[in-house]
Amino acid sequence: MKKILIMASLVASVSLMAQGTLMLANLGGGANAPVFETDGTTKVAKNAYKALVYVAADEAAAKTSTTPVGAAVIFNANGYFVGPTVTLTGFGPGSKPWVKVEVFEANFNDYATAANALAKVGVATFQLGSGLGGGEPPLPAPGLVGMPKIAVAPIPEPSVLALVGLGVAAFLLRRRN
Amino acid sequence: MRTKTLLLTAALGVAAAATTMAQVYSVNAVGYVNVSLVKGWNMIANPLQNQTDNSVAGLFGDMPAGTTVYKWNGTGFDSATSLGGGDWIYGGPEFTVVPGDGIFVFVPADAPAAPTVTFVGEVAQGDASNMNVKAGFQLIASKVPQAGKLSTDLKFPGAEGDSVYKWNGAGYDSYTCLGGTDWLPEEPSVAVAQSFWSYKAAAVNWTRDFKVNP
Repeated sequence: MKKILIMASLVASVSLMAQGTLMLANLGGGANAPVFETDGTTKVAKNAYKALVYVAADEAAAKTSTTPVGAAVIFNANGYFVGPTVTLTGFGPGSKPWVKVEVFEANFNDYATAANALAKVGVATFQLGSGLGGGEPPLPAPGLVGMPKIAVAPIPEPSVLALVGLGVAAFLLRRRN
Repeated sequence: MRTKTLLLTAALGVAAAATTMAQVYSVNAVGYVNVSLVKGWNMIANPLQNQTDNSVAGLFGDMPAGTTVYKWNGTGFDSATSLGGGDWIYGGPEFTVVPGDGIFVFVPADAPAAPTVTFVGEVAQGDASNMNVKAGFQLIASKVPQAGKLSTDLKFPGAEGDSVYKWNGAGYDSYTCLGGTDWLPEEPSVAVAQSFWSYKAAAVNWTRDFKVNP
């Protein structure tokens, strides 16, 4: 029993110490997934948008994650953001975690604030298509390989939709009366 | 990686002439090295000192969009990504690639064709051909555009317990030094413009004092 506990703690500590690397970029390191305007064909303008990246062990956790793995990265070319490489504790080199990418207009600090203001936003969740970098000797970090197409658009938050619904209901009631 | 080296014959002619002219003490040798890249990962080096521009854009020019150059900074990689048309974006601090620096280059699978990069510049000689090899992991290459066995031909200072790792296209081949030119499973060989990982317990000078015309 003691041996099992020691082995379990060793496995847990190795897992916690595992550190893979990921390049916060939708171009380079195997990635080429430009972000488009609402028309789906025009690449978003340089400096007009920012992206935040989240990483988790599974899809559900990635979708609900609220802790980005780095600061927001500005789009430094039309359609593309090429940011720094980050180290991910708990995800070993070669592993393929789930990733959420949130894109929002650059004059906001995060996706939710931008969405609440009916600014244009976009989001995608996917499993990384290439193993994380790192190890000894290190392998370079991949970009956001496997990122699906994002086309930004204003997406009303549920609270906004509820307000619109109330307004419509009030209007219909008034007409009826 | 197929590498073709051509040192300009004119420069070497001058070098030859220098041997017969006692009043001439130094000579420069300039030339170019073509490095054929493959799609995916390449572990290469700039084998010549470019006299005007050793930036990524200056060395690589117009590469397929998405091509990424990675340089080890001692704790992680700095990177530069091609937008195509000769434009590059750095994912962090800007950097140069000079002889002795090893780099990874990633060429995207959807590139129209595997590109060739042409390095142009001067052969490092004398003190400029020597370098310090740091303790720990370092991504390096010979400062001199020469192929051969690492210790026997290129005078790499192997010490017992040193490790060298070469990229084989899918992973690393590793070599362990037993001291001097004695390596397991065999002494590693490198091609011109091929880089490798060095792991050393202690820093050491890699002294070549190379001369085109000794």
